[in-house]
Amino acid sequence: MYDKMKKPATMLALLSMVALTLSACGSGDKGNNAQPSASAPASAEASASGSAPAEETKAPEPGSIKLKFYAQYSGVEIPVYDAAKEAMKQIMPEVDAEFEVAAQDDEQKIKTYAAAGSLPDIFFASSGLIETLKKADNLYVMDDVVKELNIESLLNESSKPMLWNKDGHSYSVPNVGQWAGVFYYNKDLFAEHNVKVPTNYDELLEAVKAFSAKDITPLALFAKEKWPGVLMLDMAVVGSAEPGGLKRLDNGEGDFSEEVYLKGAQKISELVKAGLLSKNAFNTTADDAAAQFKSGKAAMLLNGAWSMAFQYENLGDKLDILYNPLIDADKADQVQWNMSGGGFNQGFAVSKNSKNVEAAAKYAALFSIEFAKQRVIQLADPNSILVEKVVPTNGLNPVQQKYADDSANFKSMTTFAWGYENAKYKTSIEDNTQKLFAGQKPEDYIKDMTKALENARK
Amino acid sequence: MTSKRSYNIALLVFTLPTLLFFTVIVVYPILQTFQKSFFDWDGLTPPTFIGFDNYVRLLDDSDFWVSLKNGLIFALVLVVYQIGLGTLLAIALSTKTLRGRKFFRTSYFVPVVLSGVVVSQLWIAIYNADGGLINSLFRLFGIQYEQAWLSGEHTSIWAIAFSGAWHHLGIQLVLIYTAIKSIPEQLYEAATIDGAPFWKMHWKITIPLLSETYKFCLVIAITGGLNAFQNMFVMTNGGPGNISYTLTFMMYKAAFRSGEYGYGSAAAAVLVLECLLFTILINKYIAREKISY
Repeated sequence: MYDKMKKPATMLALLSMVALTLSACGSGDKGNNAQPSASAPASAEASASGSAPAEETKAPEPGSIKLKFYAQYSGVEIPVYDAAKEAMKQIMPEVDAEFEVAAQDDEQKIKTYAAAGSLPDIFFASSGLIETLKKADNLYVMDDVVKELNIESLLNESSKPMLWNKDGHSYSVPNVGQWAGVFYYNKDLFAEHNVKVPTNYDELLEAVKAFSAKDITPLALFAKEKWPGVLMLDMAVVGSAEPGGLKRLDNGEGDFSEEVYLKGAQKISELVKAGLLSKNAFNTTADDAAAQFKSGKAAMLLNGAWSMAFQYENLGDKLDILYNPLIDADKADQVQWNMSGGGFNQGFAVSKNSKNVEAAAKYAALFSIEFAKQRVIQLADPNSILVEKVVPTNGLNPVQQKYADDSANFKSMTTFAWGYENAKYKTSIEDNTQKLFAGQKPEDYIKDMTKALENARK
Repeated sequence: MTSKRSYNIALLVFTLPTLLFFTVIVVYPILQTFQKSFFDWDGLTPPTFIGFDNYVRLLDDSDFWVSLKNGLIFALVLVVYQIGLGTLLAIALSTKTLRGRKFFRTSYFVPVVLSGVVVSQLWIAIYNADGGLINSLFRLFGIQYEQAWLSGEHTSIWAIAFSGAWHHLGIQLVLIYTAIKSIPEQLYEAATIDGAPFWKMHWKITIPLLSETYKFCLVIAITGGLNAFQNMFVMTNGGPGNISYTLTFMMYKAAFRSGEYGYGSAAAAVLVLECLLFTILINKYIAREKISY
């Protein structure tokens, strides 16, 4: 009997040990999540001492502080990140930053990191993410670092507000200037088909009808993504003399019962009925839209101004931009420099639970400035956030030059959809606006959004 | 007595790892989902208990009704295509006089080994409204029926469901084919001697004897349809608007895009109950008697 029991009993005991070991691992993690580990203050002290006078303490070894950096380290921005990292090696040689490529996933991964208490030391944070992580007490307040390093003095006047959250604190240092949403258009196609380049909504409607009649897609909208539709609706609202656009609703001001929002939805509906989009618009990606625009199958393309270098590479001198062809003809003078897009507080933020939180904050703040500089040098951003005059390696193309000249006239900006701080509002407006573009009646759209906004504000 | 006891212990030892694993991976998360559905929770800050508010809100949410309807449509398409067509193909493949059976058997299984993303991209190209295969065929034959298949309110979910059904037809086909092969030959020989025609023979012998297999296939197809996510995520991202939402997609939107984990959990809880209900109904009404040869 004893022998017969021995083997199963041993197996059970082993299984229990495995289960206990696994649960112990789990609770170990939980402990780390709940508060910084015991070694954190010591590490922070060590990093702080790195900036202390050399005679007091021994300088830390180069690369001795390892920082995990979650950022959009991909595509055209790779050389920008690399160059900024190289520059930082001169400023903070003790830090070795390792990039983790940010997922394009509605910030799910970074939020999961936050929920699990394993946020990277430094990460790119949009204004929406900042609000979420602020509530969960996951963000390091960078006020002291910003003041100590005198970051504000490095930023130009229009960029200084981006450093400060509405609660008066700084949670991230901006790394790129404000971009407006713009309509790119093919000058040759307009000339060839004798279509007037639209300067207001009525002319845009005429242009849409004209191109549609000629079997040319008037606008290459990559509507598989949801934000371009929201941007266009925002332009329609701003164009009817509401400079706050859809952003003011996100701020908790006004509601969809206001005439200007119905009017905006009616403009979109009318344009869609006139043949604004291709049948396949809702399955069109940004690359597809750019290819249509490049090949001359589409007359216009809606995107952020950050795409100027890429679009110019595709179209060359045939390319030009329009800021807002959805403005009301009778309000053109009043609203022509009220922009859609841009205008949010975002940049590189630091996890409050980082083991090297002070070094991470200092590194993030200085890296942001280096990054902004490198964006101008390498990508010819015409909207530098810096006081320092930085010259692009290859100069500005004519479209970028136009944007750079005009940007001095910009009176206000709203925000792109990902800059909305109320996640419920953001999701609802993205989904419902896509429905509007798919042919929903404007009145039904307003009804749905009224309900969605009430829910988002609860 | 001792022998029975040691048998029971051995049974426990062999099943315990799986039971433990199942509990940790499946049962515990499901229970937690139900628990979280009674809370207002953003996934980061401490949750607040709100009773049945999330469920009441579901009933007033158009996303929920669209998702529920789409899940049922998806399940229906899987049942009709995978089990209906799967049966016909399995019967054909089990017919000894059919030439190239091995080739067809392998061919029908090929889509199963492809990744869901690849299959979805393939069907995106087929459904493309501007020059996709289907619209091009209509144009070729002069038929005025070109559609925006993936963005039409009445076509989107059907088109997506069909691509999903096509992708996994091979699995159901293999299950049904294997079941047919296990039916004793004598039954068909007797029917042949009695002069039964081909289709009548299968109608009277094959289909009734497949009832236990159908039970399993139905559970897979219906729960698979109700749970569908990947296809719409890749092909339409749930849009335009919410027209290709399913409950899984709604859960994803609520939890990951809106940061409403409690509300997302309520949608997930309804999905679990829905799947459970169908599984119980299938087990109750299909193949109630065990078939043995």
